[in-house]
Amino acid sequence: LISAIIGGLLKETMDKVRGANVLALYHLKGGVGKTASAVNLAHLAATSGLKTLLCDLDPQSSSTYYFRVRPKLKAAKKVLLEGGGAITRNIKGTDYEGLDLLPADWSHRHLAVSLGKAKGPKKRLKRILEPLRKEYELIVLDCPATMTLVAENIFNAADLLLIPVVPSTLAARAYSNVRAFFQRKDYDQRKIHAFFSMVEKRKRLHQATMRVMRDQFEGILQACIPYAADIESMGLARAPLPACMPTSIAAGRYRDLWREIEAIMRRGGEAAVNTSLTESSSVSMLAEETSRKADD
Amino acid sequence: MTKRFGDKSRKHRPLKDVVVDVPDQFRATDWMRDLRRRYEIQEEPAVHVAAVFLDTFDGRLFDKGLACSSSTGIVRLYSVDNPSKEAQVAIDPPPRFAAEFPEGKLKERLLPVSRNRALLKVLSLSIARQSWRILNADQKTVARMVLEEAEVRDETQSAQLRPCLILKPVRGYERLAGEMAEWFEESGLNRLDRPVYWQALDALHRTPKQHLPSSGTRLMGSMPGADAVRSLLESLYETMRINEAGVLGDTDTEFLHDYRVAVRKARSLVAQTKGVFAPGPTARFRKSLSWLGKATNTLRDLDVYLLQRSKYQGLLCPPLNAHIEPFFVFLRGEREKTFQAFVRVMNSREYTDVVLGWGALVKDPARLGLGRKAMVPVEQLARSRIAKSCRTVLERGYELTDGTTPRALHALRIECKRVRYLMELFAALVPEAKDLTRRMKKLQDSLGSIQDLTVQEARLRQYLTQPEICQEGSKTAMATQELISCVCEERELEQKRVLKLFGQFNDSLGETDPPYSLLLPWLRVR
Repeated sequence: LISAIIGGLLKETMDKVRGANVLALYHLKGGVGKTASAVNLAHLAATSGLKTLLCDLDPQSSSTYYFRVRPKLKAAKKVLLEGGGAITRNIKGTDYEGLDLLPADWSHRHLAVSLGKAKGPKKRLKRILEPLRKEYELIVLDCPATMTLVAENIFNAADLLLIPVVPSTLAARAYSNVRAFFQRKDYDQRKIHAFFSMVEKRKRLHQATMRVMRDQFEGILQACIPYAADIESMGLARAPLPACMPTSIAAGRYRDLWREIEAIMRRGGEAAVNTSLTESSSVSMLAEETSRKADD
Repeated sequence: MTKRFGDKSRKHRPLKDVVVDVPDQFRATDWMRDLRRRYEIQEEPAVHVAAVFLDTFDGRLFDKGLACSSSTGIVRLYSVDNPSKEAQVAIDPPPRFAAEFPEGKLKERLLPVSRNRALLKVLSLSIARQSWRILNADQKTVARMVLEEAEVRDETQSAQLRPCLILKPVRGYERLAGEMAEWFEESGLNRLDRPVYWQALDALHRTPKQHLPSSGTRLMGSMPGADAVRSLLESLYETMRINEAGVLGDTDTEFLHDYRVAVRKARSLVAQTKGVFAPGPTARFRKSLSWLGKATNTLRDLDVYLLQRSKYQGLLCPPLNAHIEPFFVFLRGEREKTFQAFVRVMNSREYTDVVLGWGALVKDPARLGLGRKAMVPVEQLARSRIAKSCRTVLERGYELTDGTTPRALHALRIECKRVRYLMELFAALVPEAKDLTRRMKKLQDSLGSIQDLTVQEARLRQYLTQPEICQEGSKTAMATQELISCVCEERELEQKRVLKLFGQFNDSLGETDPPYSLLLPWLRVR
């Protein structure tokens, strides 16, 4: 009992000291809308009054491109390994007040290898973000699709792991794999929050997959991001959707998503724990159900 | 020493906004043409922005060097002298109390300063804002420039502020901002060191304090008692009247509290200085002041209850604490009814007669008349009264036991209040009273808590009799029962503390340093 009380008090104190929340947009699968979500959510956070830092960890540097910043870091190798001055020197203000960006660098493609050679390789990112938590109120990580040491760094650093899931069998399977990995490695599963991305309502398969996944996994957010040309046009405008097309349906959905995330952060990041289904059973049930619904 | 990664010493220090004054004779068109030659500039649509500055009625934020503004749905809290953002939150309209803000830096910073005082509008700004973005070759914003022309107004006046130009550096592009700032200076634009909040206050010739409590009366020890007491009564009358608008506006519960304290102090002072004035007129108004006090008792009790809402919710464990919310809804309803009843009192003919009559009396020495102690020097009078009241407190205190009834404790509390009021009113004449007040405070707070808990227990029991609550299995009823148990338990603990605190107070009076030499002959009753 005493250790539980001390643990509780310690956690409370740490939470107070810790400062900003770290929100990671991550998925094992690529092309699911991580970058668009990271950019739009970071923008919405900044306009809602939170001093926000978006860290582009993906060597593809799409977030960096959206904000018209060149994907080039000074002393790039030190940035994500040492942090401190190496990181703060490279942060750039964006076109939007209250939103800063840590640009990507092509050298990030070797990050997993470099981390492997460093001390405490799984918690490196968490430690280098620590000083930034005091300066910012929200840190958004735009993560690459990976399950290397980089992913484990993200799992350790993030307070909320936000997974965009395209309602298709393969994406659902990948989502299941991430959860299974969390369970196996004893990561805190309450960090995981999923939302449906690139949803095409007219597709029966999407509808069925969403229904089945909601039945099988607790904690899937209500907001769904549609598959929309407006989102793709962000690349042309090189601006977040709520800034360049504030009245579009997709921008509205991102606002809904942000509201849900805000509520979760207010509750202290608490999310539903995984269901008791194992990975293989949930995926097979999903495949069975979705194919049946699609046939119907 | 080697530097560890994430070393704090490398913390980024952002460049501050550069604010410059735009003189009347400034040739803006030529200047802009020059600027466009140097940089690529994109003009943003002009906007009109309204901003409101907030503070408590007694200017608590300002006293702590803070400014709180609300504009375009965002509330900002920052240092008055350094407007670079300290904390902000998106919320519209801004809540009246700090406790109602969402969790975050702003609330953490605001709550200890404003505590349970309402945030009221100090002044509003209507700003015409023209912005420009300075772009690099990638069409990326590398600096911002804003021209602001503002009109400031409060309840009674308005004024135009001088236009100012603000250069806002963008992180990572500080060198360019530095170059621009130098060029501003070369163009004859001088830096404005006074932030807009200061400028606005200067323009209105005021401070954020909306209501200044009466500064009190300067008493000289040799003044005849009648003159000194009359001027104190007049000052209390002014305080009472000054708070009336705040009470009617219902903006902050502190207005009612100050109003009540002024009424009670006046009543107590009249009672404690018998023989200073002719007995007839003051006796009649003592009854009237008593009526005013009673008319506000329930309202104040409900205010205290609602202000301590989070404390009471905290006494219950989850999930029971969620079920007590209907009780607070009930209290809010009761409070509204009670408030409206008091508004009717304040608007009544009887109230006007009492207040105006009392005002006329305390302002006119001839109407007050002179009693047998009228010419006794006020210092002598004050010391004698304080000592006698202290003696009564001690006598009642010595009778305290574990089984002392709430009624007896309440009587002791009233005696303590009398001493406290006297000590506050005559603080300038009896300097050692300040220390005595401090020593008595803990005892008085404890007695106050017992009284509050007694009243609140009665209120909870009354709530339990409501038809919608007393149904079988009602979770709100369970939560209320639980809260009653908690309140009773807390009161018992507080009653035990009172004995200890009284002992401490009594012991402290026996100390030689600081000396109570002038009071001790009266105080030594044992």
